[in-house]
Amino acid sequence: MIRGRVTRARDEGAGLEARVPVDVVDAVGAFRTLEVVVDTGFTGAFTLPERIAQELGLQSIDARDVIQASGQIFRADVCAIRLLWHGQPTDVPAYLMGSRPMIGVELLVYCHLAIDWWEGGDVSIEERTQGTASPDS
Amino acid sequence: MRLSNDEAAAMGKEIYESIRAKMEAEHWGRLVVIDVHSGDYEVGDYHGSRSDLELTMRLRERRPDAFTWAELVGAERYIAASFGYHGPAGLPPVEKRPTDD
Repeated sequence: MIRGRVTRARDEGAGLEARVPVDVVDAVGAFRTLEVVVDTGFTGAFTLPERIAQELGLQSIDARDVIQASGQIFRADVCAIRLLWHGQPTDVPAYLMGSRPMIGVELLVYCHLAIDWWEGGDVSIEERTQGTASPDS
Repeated sequence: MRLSNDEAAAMGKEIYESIRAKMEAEHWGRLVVIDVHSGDYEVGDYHGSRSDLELTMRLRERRPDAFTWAELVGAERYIAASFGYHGPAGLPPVEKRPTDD
């Protein structure tokens, strides 16, 4: 199970964010832990700020269009990144954008996401197998 | 020198137009990832951004310097991901060919 915390956004007003630690692999194969925001409105897997991609030594070699909540289409740089997801090395495309890393719902498939939505509240992402009913149901 | 994203998109779209008829005849609803330098491409089923990456990496095995663009065959436009957008346009819609009805 992946565990994190609800924290107040540092640089984007007073909003709360659900954050979890995720280990990623940099360009020379070393692990680095990033605090990433869980965004259930994001249909992809991962985003990275360009600054962090540069720190990790990752190069953008693809371009893809993504669409913002406003309907504006943004042509994003994309790089491949390997992360440890539930202990398994997992390769995902990272869209280079925003001010902090985010994970989207593609990584939450067959997971149970629980958030205590207050500052300091618990965040947990638990792997489930397909068709597993909730223990509470 | 690295292409800009807009240059890569323009080159990718031009290459796609040259293969569109073949793609629509044989690969409706699938994703095609194009190396804009060589024109080489990979086609496969689309199940989200991770399948996009799998095709990209497969293409890069034989084209290590590939700069890729992607199109979803049959869609007006391939949108790789959405950030909370719930409007009527933009997301890949292709279930089957119009002529299949």
